[in-house]
Amino acid sequence: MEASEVEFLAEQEPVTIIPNFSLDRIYLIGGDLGPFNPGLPVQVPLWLAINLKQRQKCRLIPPEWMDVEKLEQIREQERNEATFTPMPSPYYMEFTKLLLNYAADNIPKADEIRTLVKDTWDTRIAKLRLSADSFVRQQEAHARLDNLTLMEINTTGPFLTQALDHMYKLRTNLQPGGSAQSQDF
Amino acid sequence: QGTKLELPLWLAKGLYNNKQKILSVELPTVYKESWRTVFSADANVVDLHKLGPYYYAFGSQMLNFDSPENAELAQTILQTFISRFRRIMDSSQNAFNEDTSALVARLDETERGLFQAGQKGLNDFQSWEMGQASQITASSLVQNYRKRKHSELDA
Amino acid sequence: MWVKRQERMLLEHADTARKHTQQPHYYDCYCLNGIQFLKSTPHHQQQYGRLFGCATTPRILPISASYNLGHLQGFAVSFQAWMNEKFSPELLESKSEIVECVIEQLEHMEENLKRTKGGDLKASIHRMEVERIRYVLSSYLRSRIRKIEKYFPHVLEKEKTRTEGEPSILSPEEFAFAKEYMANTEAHLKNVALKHMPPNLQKVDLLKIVPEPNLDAFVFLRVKEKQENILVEPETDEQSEYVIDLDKDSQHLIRYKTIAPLVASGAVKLI
Repeated sequence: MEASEVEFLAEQEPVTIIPNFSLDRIYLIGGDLGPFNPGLPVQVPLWLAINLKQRQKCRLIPPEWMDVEKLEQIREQERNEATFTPMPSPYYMEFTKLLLNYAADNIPKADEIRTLVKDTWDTRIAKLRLSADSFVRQQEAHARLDNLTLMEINTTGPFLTQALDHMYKLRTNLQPGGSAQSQDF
Repeated sequence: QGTKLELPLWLAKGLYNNKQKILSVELPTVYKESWRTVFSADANVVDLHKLGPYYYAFGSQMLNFDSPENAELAQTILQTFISRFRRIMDSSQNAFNEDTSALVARLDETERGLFQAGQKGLNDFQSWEMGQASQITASSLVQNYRKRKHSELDA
Repeated sequence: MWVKRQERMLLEHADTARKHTQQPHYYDCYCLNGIQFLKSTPHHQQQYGRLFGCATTPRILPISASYNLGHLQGFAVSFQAWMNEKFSPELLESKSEIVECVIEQLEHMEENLKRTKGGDLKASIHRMEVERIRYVLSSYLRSRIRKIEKYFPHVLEKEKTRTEGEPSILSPEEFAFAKEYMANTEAHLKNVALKHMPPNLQKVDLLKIVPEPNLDAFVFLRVKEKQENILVEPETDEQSEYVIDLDKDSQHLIRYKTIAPLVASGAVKLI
């Protein structure tokens, strides 16, 4: 899956906006939205929020976790623990990128937030590589990967699974008669 | 009888037959014990491309020929990959937007394929992060074509 | 932008396929133009609900319920058929009923939209949603076509050996496409090479020369319903087999073969 497709999934997630227009309840295939009244907060999917923001039709309310103090805590916890800590949103990376790119004026301390999230991401990716290496060394058959987000899995996943598939082929060599099937090398 | 000669693998495989013993196969140097010791000492220092370039694939094929060394050979190939894995992963996931030819020079062909997969993941993510994923750019082919036209005109 | 680009790719793909199969109408259902419809039945509606996580009634003129958190989550989770197909090494069971139902929804919505004025805010929101759903649908069908083209002899073999009552992995259109693809490949091989070979070398068994899907491939998954006692085969001789439990919402990296039935039943989803 490409990063832009993961972003597409993230855009289905809800976010709160404050519209500056009026519109009756709207009945989409995926569910109903609104009604929209100027100054009254309302929940919409992220894709719509971004679009309305681009048309200057609303103000975005950042999610609760998008806050310097909270993110500092998250970063520290991620650095201190050996395992992956739970993230405030399964799409924390996508939310950060989209909101900061399109609605930075609605988010206090946008630059600090960007750095904090990126630091957390880097720590997690380093851990992911570490665990990938030990998975390969131990020749494990199964790993539990709780709290990893889709975006994280998708940046390293295809590389890792391809390596594991290759290793599996090499291992079938060890079985007597195993090499007979390995003609598709 | 008793003549030594070099044959392509496909032909040797075709002629090889357990019952009639038309021919026996000598392992290529890189799979022999002396090299196996080198691999187990530190597989990372070896230039697999120079020795290979199909180290894993060719090695696996050698197992088709009955040899007392087969078990050890299969083990060495597997362990070689395991010990080289980390370096391939790190180099393919760190090199963004730079010339990678030095990084892949010592990799065997399978490893190069893997390196590319890692690069793809990284590039895809980085360009998404920088907001380039949604931009359509002219393919490099087209750009080169234009350049070539120019130089032709200049000449 | 990229939604548009993807769509153009789909159309191009469809064009090539048309030339390929010389069957101009088959691909239309993938382009969403002039498709055959099925009447919407309660069964369809249920299927639709499962795919898009909305309440059971697909509607143009709606009833109630808000686009609330629950809905949205349902919506996200239910892009599942799409994601499973993207990540699974083999072709999964066809969800053609859902596909038809979604296409029907889109058609209705587009009909309604034609009647509205261009600059209308409400209409533009509807249009965006339609584009998004259409993207998922196209991407889903495209990954299936890719697998059919890659594994066609095996796909057809599976279809041939299917027992009565077992659901087909191919939709009727995909089945026609796979057969045509097979026939064309065979004809092509014959014309280009085989007929110039000595008679004893003129036969080729496509089942043997086309690679099978690699069911041993590792996949990432997320558990939706708790599963106990999943047997994990050892990777090396020194290890022995062991069982694991898959807790709800936990994530795992494991060989596809081990959990393939759970993907089919919907107990886990690939990620």
